[in-house]
Amino acid sequence: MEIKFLLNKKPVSLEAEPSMPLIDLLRSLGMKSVKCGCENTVCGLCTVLLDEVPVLSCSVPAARADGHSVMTLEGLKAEAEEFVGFIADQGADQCGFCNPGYVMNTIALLRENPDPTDEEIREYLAGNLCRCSGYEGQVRGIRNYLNAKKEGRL
Amino acid sequence: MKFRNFIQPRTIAEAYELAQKPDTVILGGMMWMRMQKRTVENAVDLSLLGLDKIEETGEGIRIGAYVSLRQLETSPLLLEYTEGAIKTALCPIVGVQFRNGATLGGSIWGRFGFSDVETVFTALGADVVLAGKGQVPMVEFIKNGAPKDLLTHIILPKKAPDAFAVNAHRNSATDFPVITTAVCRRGDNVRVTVSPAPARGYTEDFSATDMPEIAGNIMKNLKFLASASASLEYKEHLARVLIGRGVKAVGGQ
Ligand SMILES: Cc1cc2nc3c(=O)[nH]c(=O)nc-3n(C[C@H](O)[C@H](O)[C@H](O)COP(=O)(O)OP(=O)(O)OC[C@H]3O[C@@H](n4cnc5c(N)ncnc54)[C@H](O)[C@@H]3O)c2cc1C
Ligand code: FES
Ligand code: FES
Repeated sequence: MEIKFLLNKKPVSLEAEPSMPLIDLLRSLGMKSVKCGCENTVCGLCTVLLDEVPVLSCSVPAARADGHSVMTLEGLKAEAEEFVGFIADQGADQCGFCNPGYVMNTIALLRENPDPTDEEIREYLAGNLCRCSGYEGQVRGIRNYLNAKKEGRL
Repeated sequence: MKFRNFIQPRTIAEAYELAQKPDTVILGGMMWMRMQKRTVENAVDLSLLGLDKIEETGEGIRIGAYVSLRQLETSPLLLEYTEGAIKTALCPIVGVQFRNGATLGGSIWGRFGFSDVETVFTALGADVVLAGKGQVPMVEFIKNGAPKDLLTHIILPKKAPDAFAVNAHRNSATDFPVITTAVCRRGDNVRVTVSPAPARGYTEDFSATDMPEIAGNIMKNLKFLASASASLEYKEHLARVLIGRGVKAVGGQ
């Protein structure tokens, strides 16, 4: 079927199988930040924003993107740059494979709740698995970023 | 799962008619179905049917089958109705992105023995609305299913519970629950629902005067199956403890 959607705010139109996973469609369009980290819908690495809502692109059929807006990390670099350094400073990224999913979901968290508690950060990011770290670095990094913002250091 | 045609009906009647066709599936969030290795001809998408709303009606609270689990856990109406228990029950399901995809309809339709969603709504005394069969108590639906039908809504009774508690156990965070229990008290009625995966969910109604005996009595009727996640003995132990906690939370002892 013909699928027309906004990819990172730019109109895209292409022929695709309706049940093709959105992740495959996005990667075929060069969006290589969107990665597959599991086969059972649990790792969060494939997170994209569909009409501003964070979803797992491995489970969304391409047909469901038709007429909608999809944002990937490629289109959100400026927003991500504000906080990724704080997470890197904590040494939270080891192999770094989980990072794009984390960043996408952190963007969604901070848009929905600009001043989350540590508990709220943990709860929102629970569906982003990282096999290297113990998750504490990511929480500390986001906390430091929020503190820096509050104290006018940004 | 693959499908050849993606169909978006505009009315419930049209969707129901499509559901009767051979080689046709109804799509919920596809979180479960996507893992199936098969190809079907027609996939029916429910997103244009207005089934994504949570509304107060004269009858109670009417929730569309296409509402996501995340909508359920963040709905002020449902948070008030359950005194926050809906959030406690659904938040441990995988993650926010997953719950933005998974739907109420897909979660109930599956009649999964591990379902936190099914446990919550059965204990709350919900009815399911089926396009073909009409409105039936959820307990009946869980027992019998409704092949080829279409689930359109879940209806919660107008009267909110006097007290409601959900207790589950997971071997690790974001994993499937080993067991989920919910206890709901309305006046003299205390309803206990248990999802003892992989066996189907079980519900029993008690009188509030019998509260001290509930945990012991329900154990006589509950059937467990050992699974990779827990032995039979461990499941029985968990059930007794979690139901006991639930009964205590709704005013027992
Ligand atoms: C990895 C993983 C972990 C999970 N962990 C948990 C957990 O911890 N706790 C928990 O409670 N649940 C858990 N679930 C189940 C999950 O919450 C959903 O219940 C499940 O994904 C089904 O919802 P869905 O919207 O994705 O339905 P789908 O996968 O789209 O559909 C499921 C079935 O329902 C049918 N269907 C869907 N909607 C309708 C309708 N309106 N009318 C008729 N038929 C319909 C479909 O045809 C299909 O047969 C888990 C699922 C997965 C994949
Ligand atoms: S690839 Fe793991 S959740 Fe999508
Ligand atoms: S840093 Fe390796 S998976 Fe997260």
